Amino acid sequence: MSSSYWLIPTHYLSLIKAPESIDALYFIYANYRVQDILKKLLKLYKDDIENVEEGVGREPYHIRLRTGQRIPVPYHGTKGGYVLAKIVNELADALGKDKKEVRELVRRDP
Amino acid sequence: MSARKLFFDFSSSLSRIVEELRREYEELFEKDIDISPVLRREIAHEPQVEEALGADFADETESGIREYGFEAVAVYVPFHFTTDWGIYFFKERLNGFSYIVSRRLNLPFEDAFACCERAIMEHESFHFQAEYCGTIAETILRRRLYVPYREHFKPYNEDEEAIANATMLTSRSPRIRRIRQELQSLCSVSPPGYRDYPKYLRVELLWIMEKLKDFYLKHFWENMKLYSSRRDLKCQVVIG
Repeated sequence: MSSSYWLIPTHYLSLIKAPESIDALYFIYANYRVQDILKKLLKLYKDDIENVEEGVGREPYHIRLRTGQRIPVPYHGTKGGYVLAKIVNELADALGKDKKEVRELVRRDP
Repeated sequence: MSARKLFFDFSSSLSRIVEELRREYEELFEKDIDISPVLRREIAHEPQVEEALGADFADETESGIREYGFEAVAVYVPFHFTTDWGIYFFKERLNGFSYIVSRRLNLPFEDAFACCERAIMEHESFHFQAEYCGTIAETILRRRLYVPYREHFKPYNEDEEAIANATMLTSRSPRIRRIRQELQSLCSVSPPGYRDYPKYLRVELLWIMEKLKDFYLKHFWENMKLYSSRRDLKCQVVIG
């Protein structure tokens, strides 16, 4: 590879402009999907989340919090990519926690 | 426009090959992974060398490397997952990493930046190499190997990271040789897998043929049964 490494597309991203980009790309690199992230969230926030329920149609899942609040997850379980960071951010908002910390916690979870 | 571009535009050659592969072997690639338009808008194609930025992010970068290895500085996004594939450098972290290296080895910041960028490129290129090897096996067999392999080793394969670090450390690039000592000490404090690079070194040389052959054989040929899913079998029946 040493002579041809520069044939691979290289991109430079600013974390200051898009702080969730590192987590979103790490989730893609680690091949995480919506179902993996939901499992992780349920495990990490079992005191706040009552259950992750399966739905139908355009809302395959929703997160039910112990407060009764319902967070819709309008993505199929096998979907991956940037939406994973979005799900984590939405949950952090609903729980009133710092988005960056919650993303870090999900990232660190093996 | 440069003379080289008029001749042949190398910068998009692998992208074109990947596009062709995606079209020809549709069943081998994932469709549902999306990089947000927000992120796509933020992409730059040239690095920004900023020492002040590096000084601000040096501590964060070092703790990031301790926790996530060199993936804290740059991430390789495989072409099996998205059309926006490639090596993604995080500007602040790359400057932070360069700042650490320049201070510890007493190098001018610009030189340290060039060396660090090259070293990270070498590490991430190995991930491309592994994916490329998997793709060759896939196109011969017409069955999914790379995606199930990544599925099996979530979040990362320790052997792959160890070889990526060993490849980086044993590179013949003079830039990497210049900062090798510091790279080695950062590799040693990285997470499991990243710090296991000595397994793949012999008298400071990579066991190129033996170990790499073992890695590819083990992960893309011998373990096919382990990864095979119903989807693969269906694909095999249809084609075979």
